[in-house]
Amino acid sequence: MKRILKELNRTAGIRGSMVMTQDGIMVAAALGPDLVEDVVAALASALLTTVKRSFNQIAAGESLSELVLTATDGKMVFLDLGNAYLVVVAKRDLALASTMVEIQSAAHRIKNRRASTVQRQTAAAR
Amino acid sequence: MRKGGVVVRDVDSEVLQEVVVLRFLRNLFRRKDTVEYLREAWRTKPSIAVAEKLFHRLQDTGSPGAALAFIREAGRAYPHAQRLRDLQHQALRVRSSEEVKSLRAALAANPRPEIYARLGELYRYLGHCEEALEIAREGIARYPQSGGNYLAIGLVHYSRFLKTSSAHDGLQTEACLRQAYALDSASFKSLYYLACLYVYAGAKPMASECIARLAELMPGDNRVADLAQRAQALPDSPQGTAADYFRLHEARAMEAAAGAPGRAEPFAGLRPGKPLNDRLARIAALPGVDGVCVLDRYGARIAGAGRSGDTACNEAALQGMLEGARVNARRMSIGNFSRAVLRSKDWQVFLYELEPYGLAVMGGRTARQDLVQRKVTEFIEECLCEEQGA
Repeated sequence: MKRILKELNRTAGIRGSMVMTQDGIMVAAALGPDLVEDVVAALASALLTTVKRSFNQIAAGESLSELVLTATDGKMVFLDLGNAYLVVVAKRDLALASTMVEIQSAAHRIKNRRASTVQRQTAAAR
Repeated sequence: MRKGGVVVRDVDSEVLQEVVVLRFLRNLFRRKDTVEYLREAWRTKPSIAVAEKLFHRLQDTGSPGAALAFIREAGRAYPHAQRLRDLQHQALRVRSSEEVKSLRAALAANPRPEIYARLGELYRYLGHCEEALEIAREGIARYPQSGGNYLAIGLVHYSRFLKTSSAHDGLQTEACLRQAYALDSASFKSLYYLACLYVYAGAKPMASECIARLAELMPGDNRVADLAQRAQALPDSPQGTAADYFRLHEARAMEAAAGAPGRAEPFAGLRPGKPLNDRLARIAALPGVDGVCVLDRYGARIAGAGRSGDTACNEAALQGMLEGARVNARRMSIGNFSRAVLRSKDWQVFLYELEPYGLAVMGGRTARQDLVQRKVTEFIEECLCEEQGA
């Protein structure tokens, strides 16, 4: 998983990425030197909790699948991975239209990887 | 007519009759929305509605240049018609977008400093501030002695300063415009906007100095005279650097915004009422968009358009999202929240910071982000233009 995140970080404009559970526990992270993993996970979880609760009121209980937050000095992208979220911290001038493909591809690979790991574990248990 | 077994046609009267019949038929079946018909209507009985129809017709017939020329003419005839002003902006945006394409091609073929500067200016006008900064910086890296690119960057920061009153943007504007003026001392625009900046920030001594230089550059210019009047009306304040004035301005704006209820330094373009609702209705009319609303800093809805459903519930939810985004963006050290897109399987919510208001656009999965973004940019520009009296 970390390898996928590292590959994603090679994309121009991306400062770091991580996978975290919905309650803010870090699963894997490849953040730059200026980003502290636990702090980003905690804050991202706080943001997701607040925003998801409000979003559910409007979207009649649908779960949030994607959140792109743009601020004056940077961007954050959250993608739903099922039980976890992929969080990407990027520079403000990142061209999201082209980079989103990379981010979604990374999310897809992480999801597949998790699915195959679960399958393997189930097979081993049997 | 029959004469001696020979039918002699009275050709002249028949032709005349035919012409009359044809003319009648033409008038009967003539399409009321053709350019000719509308032009005639504009000449004989001008009205805002006719102007609007003719403008759209000209645009549909693939003559944006003619549409722009006409809407300018109509704007002169009805100088207070907000709708015509909006259409003029729309036409200018279309023309600017086309110019961007041709300049991009020209830049690829033969890069010149003026092209970078013009592109920066156009991007700024179209509301693509990041692109404007990027292209102007690229221009500066290539041609450091060209003032136009500094001017383009300065104007982007100036727009932001008007919107946010941030001292940082004020300082950036000043530095870029001063640099542009230093490189081209005949640049009226750099000096003019520098003077505007000082007047806006209340820096009377600096503004007076710039206005004096402007008067030398363009004696008798109306814009300079207006600016001089505005500068004259500013209260006298103790001497200080420009940075002091910008910081003071920022502090005042923050203090004013903190006062309850609502805000003390209103974004005049966002006065609740029909014009604001009409503008929002244009966003709500986009395909896939269900509703749009503007909330004040306390979450109260000040304007809206489209279907709103359970309004109170939606307001609370949207305010929750806006506050969540605002607070957490700052906490995560990525600066101040400016916009967010939230998606689920069937829903999309677009949030925009209008300092200190928040704009929320709700839509289904089919709502296109680029179209929403474009319309919101137009909305913000129109509000800013109205605020500046442009």
